[in-house]
Amino acid sequence: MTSQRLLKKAGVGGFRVKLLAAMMLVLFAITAAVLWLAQRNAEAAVERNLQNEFQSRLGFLLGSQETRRAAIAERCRMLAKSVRIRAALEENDVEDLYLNAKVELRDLLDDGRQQATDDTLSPRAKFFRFLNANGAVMPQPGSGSPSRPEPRESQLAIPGGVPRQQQIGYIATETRGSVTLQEVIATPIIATDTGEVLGAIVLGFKPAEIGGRAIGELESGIWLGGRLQMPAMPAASMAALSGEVTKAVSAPGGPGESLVVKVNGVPNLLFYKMLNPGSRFPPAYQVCLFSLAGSIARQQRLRWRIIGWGALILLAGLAASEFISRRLSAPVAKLAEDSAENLVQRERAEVALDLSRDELLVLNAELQAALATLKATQQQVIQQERLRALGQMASGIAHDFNNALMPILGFCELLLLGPETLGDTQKTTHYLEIMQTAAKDAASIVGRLREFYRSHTDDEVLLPVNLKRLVEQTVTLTRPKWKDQAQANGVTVRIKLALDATPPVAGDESALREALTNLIFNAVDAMPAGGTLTLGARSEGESVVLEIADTGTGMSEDVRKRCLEPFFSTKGERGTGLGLSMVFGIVKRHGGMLDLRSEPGKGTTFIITLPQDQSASERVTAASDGGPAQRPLRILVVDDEPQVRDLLIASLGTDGHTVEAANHGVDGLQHFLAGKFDLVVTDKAMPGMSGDQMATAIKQMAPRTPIILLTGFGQFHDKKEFPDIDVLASKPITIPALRNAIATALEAA
Amino acid sequence: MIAMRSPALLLCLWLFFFAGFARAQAVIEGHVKLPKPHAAQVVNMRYEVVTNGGVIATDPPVAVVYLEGHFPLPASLPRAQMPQKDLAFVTPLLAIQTGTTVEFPNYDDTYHNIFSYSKAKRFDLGRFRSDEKPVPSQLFDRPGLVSLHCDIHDFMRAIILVLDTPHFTVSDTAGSYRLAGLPAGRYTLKAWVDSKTTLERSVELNNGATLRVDFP
Repeated sequence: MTSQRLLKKAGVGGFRVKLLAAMMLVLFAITAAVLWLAQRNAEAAVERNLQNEFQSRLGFLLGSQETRRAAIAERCRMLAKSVRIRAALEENDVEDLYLNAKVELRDLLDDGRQQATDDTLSPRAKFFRFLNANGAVMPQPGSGSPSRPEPRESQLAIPGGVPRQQQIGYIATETRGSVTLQEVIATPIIATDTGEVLGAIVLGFKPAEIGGRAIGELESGIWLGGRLQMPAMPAASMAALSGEVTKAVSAPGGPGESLVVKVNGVPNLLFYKMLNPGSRFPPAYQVCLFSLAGSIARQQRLRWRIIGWGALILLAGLAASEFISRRLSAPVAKLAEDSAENLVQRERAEVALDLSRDELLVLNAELQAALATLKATQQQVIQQERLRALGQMASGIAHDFNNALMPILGFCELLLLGPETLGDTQKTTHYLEIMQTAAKDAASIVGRLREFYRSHTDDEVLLPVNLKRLVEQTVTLTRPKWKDQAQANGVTVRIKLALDATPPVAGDESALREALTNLIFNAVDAMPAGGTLTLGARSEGESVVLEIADTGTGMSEDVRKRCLEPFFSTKGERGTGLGLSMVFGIVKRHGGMLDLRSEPGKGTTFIITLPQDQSASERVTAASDGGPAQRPLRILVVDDEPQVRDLLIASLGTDGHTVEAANHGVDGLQHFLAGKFDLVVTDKAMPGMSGDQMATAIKQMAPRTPIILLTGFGQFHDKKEFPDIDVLASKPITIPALRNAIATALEAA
Repeated sequence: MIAMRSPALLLCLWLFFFAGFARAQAVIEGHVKLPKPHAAQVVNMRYEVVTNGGVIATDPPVAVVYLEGHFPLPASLPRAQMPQKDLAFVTPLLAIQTGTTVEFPNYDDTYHNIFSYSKAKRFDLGRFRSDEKPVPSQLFDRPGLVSLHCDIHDFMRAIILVLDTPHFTVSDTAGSYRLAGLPAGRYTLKAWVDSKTTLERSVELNNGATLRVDFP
């Protein structure tokens, strides 16, 4: 065991060393590469900088030369136009030639008096000579003053005739042992009328200086005919340098651009560039010498710095790789140790596991039993709670049902008390319509028992509702409350309507009406001394907003917080505490929001925000109640209640359908087998075979036959409970709802 | 009938015969072959002086044919004229005998400045106008070609050919010439074509004879 562990430790140690070595190798290679590149870049940059320096200075020199040459060429054109110069040239009359030329060129010549401010840009010629058309010098009569260096005439001649292009040359004149370089520009004089070359004028200048004397590293000069003229250079080194340049410029394959030379043992970078390419004068080169001493020293410093940095990086790398390899190898070593220990522990654990398994089985059984008991108890509690809630709800329903019955009773009484109004058909019809609406609402109240615990579901049919009409209707409907009853109590409630034409909302009309009724009742109740009730409707973006505002007692902060809770009431015995919570439920079911603002003594405003019906137009066509939307169908109606059956037969017959009726399930099946039907409408609860059982039987025979199941308990059922039913409809059913159900059933089947 | 003639006519006839016999007159006529005109033929056939390659000539070319020899110098020579009109020399090529004084009248409304750098005669008249009195003049006392320029108008050119002989003529632009009233004897006949070209022939003149000499 121990020897094994040692062996493993040795293996791990080897791994660490190898890792360290590899990392160091990579680091070393990268560092070396980076340093080498940096060094090379620095060297190249120095040479490039010097080259740029030379080029820019040379560019300036050549530019100023160019300017000068252009100016001189222009002057020579003027000269050619001069009649006297031409006459003198024709006559070979040098005396008149030089005499006239001195006059013509007086501002170009250095007569020793003027002191030119800028010698480089507007230099003055030191001398001038005419050449005849053959390129021979026309000697100046009575040679110039001895103080000025005079060129040898032979240096100026252009053998082979004067070319038509300007020629640049350099000549060296020796006076009293010192050599003076002069730049000469030979410009042809071309006859303006015949275009022939009459001769040439050669102007001699002090050579343009290459700039940069300020920088001590730079020496410049001109190489001419194997001799280098560099004023600031000792004669001895000049001779050696001359040889180098001569060799470079006469090298086969054309001259290069630069070379490295040693001056007094110091390396220098020497640039050279021909000054007069294409000239018939002997070639001259501009030579610039940059001492590399400074840059070499800089490079030396740079190299040491680079080496220093490299060493530093290597050292840091060494530390880092040591650290990393340690970090990496530690887990490996630990893993090796752990795996040995693990083996022992695992064996131990397995034994323990076997023992505990039996215990666990017993424990599990006990827990299962306890859970079952707990579940049963919970079920009981839920059942009790549900029963209690139902009981409470029933009282609420009674309240709302009473509300719905009130207009019916009220208008009935009105009619009974004044039988003479029966003659007024319009009024009577209006009363009857109100009563019908109230009765319909009463029917839907019964179906709304579930609304407190069920939210909006898919199978609920939402139709487009015109809120303006709804509000107006509801106001009429509740008139007994806010007018008759209030007047009876000796108070006046004014109704104010502020209704915009709003887009329809998707909703259940009777539910919304009920909610509105509740709110109006609450408002009237909140104004025991009378007041104004304002009902408003308006569009707001994608929503429609309903506002019911009263000028009553208002609510305290505490009441306002709790008013939406079920069974919370401030009306004592008169209220159930369900009104507002029902309103809240209805609004939520419509996907809307209920907001309220209240201030004690000032009144309460309820704000209902309902989403617009986006698909209003589609729904209207699908659920149109304007008439029978379907083609004539053969329909089998099954119901054990003769009144309902007769009502169905009558309403379906009105829509043009052929209807057969059956009394119960078995009867229905027999009818179905005997005839041919497009649709079956059946009650659910029937003696013998129930509607859903019959539906299952029919679907087995004719699976594509649509079946509508009518039930008085429609809201308590889920359509999923009856897989063979296409549409589940609640009783009592209105004619539009029946049409809608038929349309849906046909579509579903 | 002849005796009835006026004395003047008689005198004329006499003079004619006298001169003819007493001076042993001879005539040379012929043709000088001239170089091709410098430019397209000028319609009005006036000629101007041009230089080409340092050679001064007229364009269209004409020749001056003259007889070289030793002739007695007359006591006085008539004055010649080199007038300027319309910014041009009226006679761009003027041949004169050595010793002739040439006047340079200016018929323009502007200044002229006639000068010459020629070796035969270097002069510079300076600026002068038409009303300049006396009319600027120069004595040409050395034979040779004198090239005239105007310092103001660089296109104005003229030549004065100063000859050591009274016997000279200017050919027409076709090259035809005729020299009359020449003394008998052996001479050299020269034809000046341009400043670099002078053709010559030896001739022997006999009294009353007409010699035809063509310069090829």
